[in-house]
Amino acid sequence: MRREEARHLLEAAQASEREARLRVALLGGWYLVLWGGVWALGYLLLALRPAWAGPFFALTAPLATLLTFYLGFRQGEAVRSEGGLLTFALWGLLTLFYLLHWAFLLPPRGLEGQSFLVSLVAFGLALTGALWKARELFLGGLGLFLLALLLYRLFPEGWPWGMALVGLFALLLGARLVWRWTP
Amino acid sequence: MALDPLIHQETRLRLMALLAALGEEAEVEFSWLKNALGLTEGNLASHLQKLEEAGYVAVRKGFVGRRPKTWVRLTPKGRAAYLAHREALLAILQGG
Repeated sequence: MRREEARHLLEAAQASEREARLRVALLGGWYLVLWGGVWALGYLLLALRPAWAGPFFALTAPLATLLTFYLGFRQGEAVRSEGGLLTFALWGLLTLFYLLHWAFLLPPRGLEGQSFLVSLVAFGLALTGALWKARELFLGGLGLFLLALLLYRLFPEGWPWGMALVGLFALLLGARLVWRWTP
Repeated sequence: MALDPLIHQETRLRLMALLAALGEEAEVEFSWLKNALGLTEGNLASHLQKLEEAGYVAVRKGFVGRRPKTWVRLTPKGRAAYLAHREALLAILQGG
């Protein structure tokens, strides 16, 4: 067998492995579409109409959480794996801890509360990346944390714009993945 | 290290890679697999039959509500064969 053929087949196998893990970890891309949309619109409102941002997040975040769990259950019927269950448990626990924190300690009205939420999401992404051996997700989590840190420390007034851009990027990336993965 | 002629076919290699990537004991529904690989039902069924005959995958039929479903999983023998085939490809690349 020629080396070129071996290289082609090995790359095809590696690409299949990577795509399968990423597809499950991102709920077929819908996870990014859903939360990217919520973040992009919510933070855009925070930048332009701050009074509307609170009610928007209060309404859409629980809806998006319910939709995420629905998508997770639906995927769990199609792909039954220990990694899937662990990811589901991880995001369920993160959501629970976030809600408890929001209710009893620090509502995300100011920058402190929001930065905590972003760190929690960044941690979840990085850990999901580690669970699924998906380098893109792992680096995405670290990148999100670094961006939040930079904005918080150096350009706090640019925080809503920065987060809106993150949301838009996630939304566009998710839409591209859904397009690619939906027959 | 020898190449496995059954897994060597590219579609079957991608199928085995996909199942192996989702972890041991992972079970994948037939239609999810079909969409992920971009195959027709008949094509996927034919590849799965060959792999099942070799003992590389196990196929289970069941119901979700009233709808009939088919799940596929890699057997330990199939996982070992896939990893060995992958190693053999890597050895060809490294050996020059």
